[in-house]
Amino acid sequence: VEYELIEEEAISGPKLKIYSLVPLGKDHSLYESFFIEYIGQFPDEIQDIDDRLRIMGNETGLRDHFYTPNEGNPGDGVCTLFDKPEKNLRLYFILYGKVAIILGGGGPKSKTIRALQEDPKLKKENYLLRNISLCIKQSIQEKNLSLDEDGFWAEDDDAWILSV
Amino acid sequence: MDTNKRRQPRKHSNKEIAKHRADFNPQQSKIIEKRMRLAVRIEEGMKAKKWNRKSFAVEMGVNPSVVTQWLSGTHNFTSDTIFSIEEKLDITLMQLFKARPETKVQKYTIVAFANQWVPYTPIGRMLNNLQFPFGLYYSNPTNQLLFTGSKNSLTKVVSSGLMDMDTCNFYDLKINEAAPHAH
Repeated sequence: VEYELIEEEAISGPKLKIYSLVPLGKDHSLYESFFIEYIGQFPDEIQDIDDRLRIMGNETGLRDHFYTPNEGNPGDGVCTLFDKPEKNLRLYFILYGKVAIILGGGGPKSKTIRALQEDPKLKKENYLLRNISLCIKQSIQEKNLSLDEDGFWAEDDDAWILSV
Repeated sequence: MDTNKRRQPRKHSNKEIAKHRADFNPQQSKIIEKRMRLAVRIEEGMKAKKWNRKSFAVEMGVNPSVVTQWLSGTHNFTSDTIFSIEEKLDITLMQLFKARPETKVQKYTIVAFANQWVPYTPIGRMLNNLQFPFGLYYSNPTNQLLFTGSKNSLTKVVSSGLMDMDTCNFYDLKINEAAPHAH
């Protein structure tokens, strides 16, 4: 599947660049699909997540204590937002220092499971981000993509299309 | 890579999501923001004291997991806890809840004279290059150039050497009142 790397305009800001991926031919990014899927069932949590992302993007930046690291393979930067016992939803993202994050999808984590692998939906979303992380790492190594304090940039718009 | 050719990812938004965002509870948004700012302020206070979560927990007489919860930006603090944290860290937290005062900038205007149409004057060329980020300017029929901005920003224009200080007069404007010529 091919995805386009995009910047989430409504929540990204000068303190933290927030990106997501739109599957080619679709209207919604992975984050927007997550948003729409759960806004009916968990409206307060979706508002909480979206507001927090916007505040991180524009005011506080990403702080270590706002997320749970090491949710993927070693070094791939896959983390979880708002992994709190009192919350239902988990949202996966890839971390790029304090500069940028790429939002994926997520879902509700049942209180009866400990590992994400026990839930097919969470496993699918988490492993997709692991693969995207690999793909971006390769693009950076091949100098198709770059990352600096202003976020991702490239010389060619083709660089935003990632085959995962 | 050549940094002159840099492109950035497309900015993406979606009307359906925007409609949902418009329905968000604004009171809840304010609470979320305050909790996050509180967590950041506590973190900065800990850094100033060179305390990590564990040492701060010892100082506060709580389990380190409680500090983790405080720093998560999701915690609903009691006033007693806030007072204790303020005392230990020598910081003020309650002031975060007050409305932020509006920043008042004293504005000034410079009047200068040109013998050509503005874009062809040295100052005009410089302003075009700089895209003049600090105010508005125009040339009226008498070739009078009028600039508004903070005294600092206007001094930059004057000190650039492209405008002779002797031909410039600073006029003190009322605070936050736009210059009459700036419309």
